[in-house]
Amino acid sequence: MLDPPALEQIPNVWRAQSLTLAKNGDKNRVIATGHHQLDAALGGGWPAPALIEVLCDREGIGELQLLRSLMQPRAMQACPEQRCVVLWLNTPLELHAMAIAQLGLDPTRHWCTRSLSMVDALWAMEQALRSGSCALVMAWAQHITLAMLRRLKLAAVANGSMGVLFRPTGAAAVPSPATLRMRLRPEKEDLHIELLKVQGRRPACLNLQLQGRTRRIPAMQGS
Amino acid sequence: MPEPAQPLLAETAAVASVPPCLHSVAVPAPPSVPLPRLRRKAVWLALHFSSWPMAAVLSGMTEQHSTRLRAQPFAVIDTDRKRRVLVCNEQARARGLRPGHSLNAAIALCSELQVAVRDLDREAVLLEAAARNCQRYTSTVSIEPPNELLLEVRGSLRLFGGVEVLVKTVLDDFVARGIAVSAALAPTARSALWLSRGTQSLQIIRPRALPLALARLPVSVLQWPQDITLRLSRFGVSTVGDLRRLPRGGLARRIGARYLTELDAALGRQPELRRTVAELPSFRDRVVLDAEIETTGLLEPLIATRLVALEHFLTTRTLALTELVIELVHRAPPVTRVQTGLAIPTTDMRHLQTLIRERLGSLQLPAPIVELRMHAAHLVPAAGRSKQLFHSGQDQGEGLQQRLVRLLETLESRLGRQAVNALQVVADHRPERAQSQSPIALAGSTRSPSIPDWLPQRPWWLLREPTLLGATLRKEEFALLSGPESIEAGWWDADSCKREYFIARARQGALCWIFRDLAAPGAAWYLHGLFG
Repeated sequence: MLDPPALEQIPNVWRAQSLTLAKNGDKNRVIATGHHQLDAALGGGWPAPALIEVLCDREGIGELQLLRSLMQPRAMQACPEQRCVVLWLNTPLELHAMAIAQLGLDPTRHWCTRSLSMVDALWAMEQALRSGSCALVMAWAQHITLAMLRRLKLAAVANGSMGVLFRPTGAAAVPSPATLRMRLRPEKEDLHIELLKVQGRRPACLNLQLQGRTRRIPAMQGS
Repeated sequence: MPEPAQPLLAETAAVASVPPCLHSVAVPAPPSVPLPRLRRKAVWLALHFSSWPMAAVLSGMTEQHSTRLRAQPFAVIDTDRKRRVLVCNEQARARGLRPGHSLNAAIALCSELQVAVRDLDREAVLLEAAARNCQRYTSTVSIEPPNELLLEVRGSLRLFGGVEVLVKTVLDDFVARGIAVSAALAPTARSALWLSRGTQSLQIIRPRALPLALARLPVSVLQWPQDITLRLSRFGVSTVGDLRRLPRGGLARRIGARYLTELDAALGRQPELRRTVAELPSFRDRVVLDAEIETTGLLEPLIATRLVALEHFLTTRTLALTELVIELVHRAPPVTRVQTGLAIPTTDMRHLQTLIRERLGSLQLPAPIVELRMHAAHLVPAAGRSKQLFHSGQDQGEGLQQRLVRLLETLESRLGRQAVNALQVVADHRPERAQSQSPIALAGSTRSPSIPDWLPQRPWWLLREPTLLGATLRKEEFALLSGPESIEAGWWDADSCKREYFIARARQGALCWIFRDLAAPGAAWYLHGLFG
């Protein structure tokens, strides 16, 4: 009785995981997330170009810290110049320029709009993704149709842009064409990430310790 | 009356026969007798702005500032070493100040004198703008730096209803803006200039009266160099008439031949070439509709066809567009204007069409449209860009900067101006004042204030108004992680704060930035930010 050989040893077996890796090899690239666990689960890093859907119900759980590596100025294959503009559409709260500057990013390159109507915000997101001039386009949307999601994904992928759409967790049950969907939930000190859909890979769950979210002040005087 | 030109001519003929003397100056050939007739009778209107430096300085100020300056003694001084007064207003004049005084003398006369240094660049710009404005009256407008304009108005006299009406219309423009102007009409450009310098009142000189009118003018209006004027005064020459009585050859030797040429040009014996202000290229288009249009959707294809014509116009002239105004004419007077401005000049009609579509999309038509007008005023030379030999589908040659500008224009065309703002760090300890949203500056990067390393981490999200958590902090709701960080600032203005900030983890898992307000009597707790 022969032991069944390990899957890796059998030649010419096509594995679903190789889909992203093969694509990454020639045409697309991945952007390292800065977290080993997440990189492993995503097959190297954030897929790029992509439309990423982040499902979370409240702010302040580390959702922006997670996306930090996407906000760095970078060149993408469509154009060799460094893209450094980050567009924030319909932010739920006010962004603090100081925090952005403390992370070593240039706040003047962060453009934001507030209180747009949903239609306008998604239209603006599509325009920005299509222009292919922003490092990252982020929008907060409550209701969005499947057709609009398709448009956004097409705009991102065809023009080499990165788009992140924040939606409530209730949207998890509805299918979506996004390249990557993840649901975020705080779990004690960590961030629990549920990868609902990773194009070309298996869904996964992981707990992430977000280091450096806050620098501790050593002296903890009584209060 | 004896013809004054005759003796001059006789003298010149005599000089021509004598052998050349030590100063060999090329004496201009004497005009042939009889006087050559000008090919076409010209009427030159000269405008002389005596207080142009002041007008230029005031035009660069805010309305409030300039009104304040007008009300008190005010003078504009020259940029030279002596800082002489060039122009002063009526209040300063009443105190005894005159143009030509040195700055020290001026301040001695009037201690509360307000002084500004002349701005030659602005004067030139303003003069060119005035010249363009005058192109409404005639196509031949010439600039005579530093403060004069020449208009050839022969062809416009009938259209505007006669000399008096035309001149009044032209002058009213300047008088309404508070700019002092003196004017003269004469058959030659140079004589008109000289005459306008000489008087305050309007002078209209017919061709036959020209020699006599010129003869009365003092030599100072010729604005010849100081040493020439001085030399002439030593000869006992004080008017143009005196000048013309002198022998032509001798005069040319003593003061230079080119001044004789100027004199001849003023009298119309020699033609004078002048450079006119070129017309700015602009594009106008007008479509009278066969049927009234009630929705903007129907308007789009129509505009698209006209944009093709505009593109052709631009390509053949190598021009680019900075602004396009579309006027939608209704049956009743108020015209709907759709203005599309561009941050960088473009020749790309597809982009323009996108912008126009967004504008039209948000437009409410008050009435059906009967006519469409398009006007592109500010056309600038287009920057040439090589196209790819092999068409690759995407226009990849476009730079990132240009794409960003286009994105911004597109967003603003639908969301409104200033809808998209850039974040900026402001040097202030109070968190709510430590940032601002400013209009986006694409060119160059503004320096942000540097943030010290020891400053504890700030949260991504800031609440616009801190939320009250209560007088005491419940331990089960918030677990304090670090702190306190004391912020006490703003005692110098009304918005002072004295707070102790903590980083706390809320029960639901969010990292919060909370503070205790020590300035308030109860020292209540507030939530101010979230670490995203």
